[in-house]
Amino acid sequence: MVFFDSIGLGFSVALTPTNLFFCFLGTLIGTLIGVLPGIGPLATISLLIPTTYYLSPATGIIMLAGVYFGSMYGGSTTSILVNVPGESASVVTCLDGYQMARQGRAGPALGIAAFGSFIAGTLGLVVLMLVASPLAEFALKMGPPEYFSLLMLGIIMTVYLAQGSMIKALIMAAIGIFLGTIGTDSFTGQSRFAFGTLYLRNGIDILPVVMGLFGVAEILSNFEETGQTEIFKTKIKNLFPNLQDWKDSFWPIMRGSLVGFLLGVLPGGGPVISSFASYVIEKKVSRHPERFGKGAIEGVAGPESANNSCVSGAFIPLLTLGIPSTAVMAIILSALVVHGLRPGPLLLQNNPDVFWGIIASMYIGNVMLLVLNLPLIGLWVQVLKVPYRILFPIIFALCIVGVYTVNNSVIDIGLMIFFGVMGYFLRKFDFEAAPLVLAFVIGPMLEDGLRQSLLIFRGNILGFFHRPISSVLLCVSFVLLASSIISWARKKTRVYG
Amino acid sequence: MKWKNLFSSLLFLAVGIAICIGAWRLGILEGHVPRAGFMPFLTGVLISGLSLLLLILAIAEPKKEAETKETAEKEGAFRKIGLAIFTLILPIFLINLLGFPITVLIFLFLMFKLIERQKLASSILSAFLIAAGFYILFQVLLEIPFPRGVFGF
Repeated sequence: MVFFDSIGLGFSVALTPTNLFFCFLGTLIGTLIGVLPGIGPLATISLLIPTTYYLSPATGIIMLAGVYFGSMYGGSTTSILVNVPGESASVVTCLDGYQMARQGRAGPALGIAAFGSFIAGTLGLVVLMLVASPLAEFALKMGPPEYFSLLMLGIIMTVYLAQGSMIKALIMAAIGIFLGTIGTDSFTGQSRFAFGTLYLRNGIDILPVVMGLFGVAEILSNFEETGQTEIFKTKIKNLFPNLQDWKDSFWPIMRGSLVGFLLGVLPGGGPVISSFASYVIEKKVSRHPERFGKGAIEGVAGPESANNSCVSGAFIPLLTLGIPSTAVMAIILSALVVHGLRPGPLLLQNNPDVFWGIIASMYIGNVMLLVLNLPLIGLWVQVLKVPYRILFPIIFALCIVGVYTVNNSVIDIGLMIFFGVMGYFLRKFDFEAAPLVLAFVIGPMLEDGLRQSLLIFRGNILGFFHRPISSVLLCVSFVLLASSIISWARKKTRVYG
Repeated sequence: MKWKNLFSSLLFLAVGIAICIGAWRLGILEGHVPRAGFMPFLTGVLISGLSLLLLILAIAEPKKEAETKETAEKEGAFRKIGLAIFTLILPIFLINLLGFPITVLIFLFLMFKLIERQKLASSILSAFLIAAGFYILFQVLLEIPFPRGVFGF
């Protein structure tokens, strides 16, 4: 009964005219940036945080969440019609989606991407609604050692699931933790690595870091892309997939929903990995794997479902434990903090309207996206025709405005440029920025947990293993790290002979 | 790849050592109580250790065929990147002096003219229209308190 009351409360919040409008706005902006290659949800959400200052916490987060899952919908349109992913989670959709378009089946490809996303998003939300409350109650029993171990597992998972070198991902995570320590130490009041500046004493704000590493660096990297994008000219008809398409897509959507959801909950998972994982699974279970890459509808249905349910899954650790599982969730966490809310188990107790309002709005947003996406395909195709040479100066200018408005400080602009250049070179040198951002946000919590635990254990590090939850979490971390090291060592032995 | 790993590992090794020295000065432990430098020191050690490992692997990495020369297109991209960074830095110095709309106008004009090499008239028009849009959206509608500068707006 309490469960249904909570959902009722959530819908009563989400269905207010203001929240409906901002949910619509968020999903619209999300679809737009998903369609447009070169700007992803991370940079957009960072950019929009200052605009939420004028809104209530629930309204602001509803809009930002809308941007996130809207971008997952929008990304598929570009992948299918242009063979260029609108955002990174739709990379894999290019493989079969574009081939379907070439065969005159752009309509069913776009249709199944939208319906699959809707079904997966809805299933993910149902699970989110069911597990959020018990998990938040469980989280209340956790102390600093358990939190530290959980955060440690989060960082290890991020490194474990990193797409490139594990060593490089670990270096990035360590840099992120270090950047999070800059500023006044909350335990001793000492100033750390502030170099006598008042600005750094307050610590580095997350927005210049993210806008630089993802927004500015993305555009700088795009300057090296010389290829012209060309929209595949075809009549988009039959957006509603036929019975055979549904038969072929049903299980891929179900499997994609499950894989996406699980990888969303796990720190470091994220929509990119979940869409790739779903594609690999579909190819493996298929009786005709040779059809993949040549226009198999399963290759669109599975990954597109996975990246959407992943977004629902990613809200679980954020809302119930206060732990972001992806870089985008880290930004949404900072947005909640800006509004004076502390994500975690107490959010459900202290701000149930915000908690359930966000969840309910995601369901409404999914319905909006389904209604919005299919009839507006023509509009999104027109959007794709806007030349990049017009877009990138606007994105740059928006980055400057977004960063400046946080503290009205030009130092933030300078910091964003610094991280932008750093992000560009990190890409050139094959370092991923996502572990850095995640560790930057998790870092201060990790440090607090470690130092409080060491005080509790009187400096005895083995104390972590005397508590069951903490010891299990740390053991899982060690196993993951060890298995990564072993497989990496085997690979290196083969390379070096 | 080899030179990239060599360069990045040396750079991060230097960063890691610098963090360790800075953290040491802050204090690491007092009895069993962690001090302000405790966490930075741990991260510094981790960065240094991993960079050293990356360095060793880069040295041991088998030599591959010579890397391809940068093409003219790549050189063009580097020109754009350099100019973009220069143009991005300008608002830091201009925004308090000239105010928000004029700074955005100059910024966009330089982006269109220097980086995209558009015609003068087209650059001015595009920059003006977008800057006007920004002014109306952010300063008039959203009332974001931007510096007004010498022109008073």
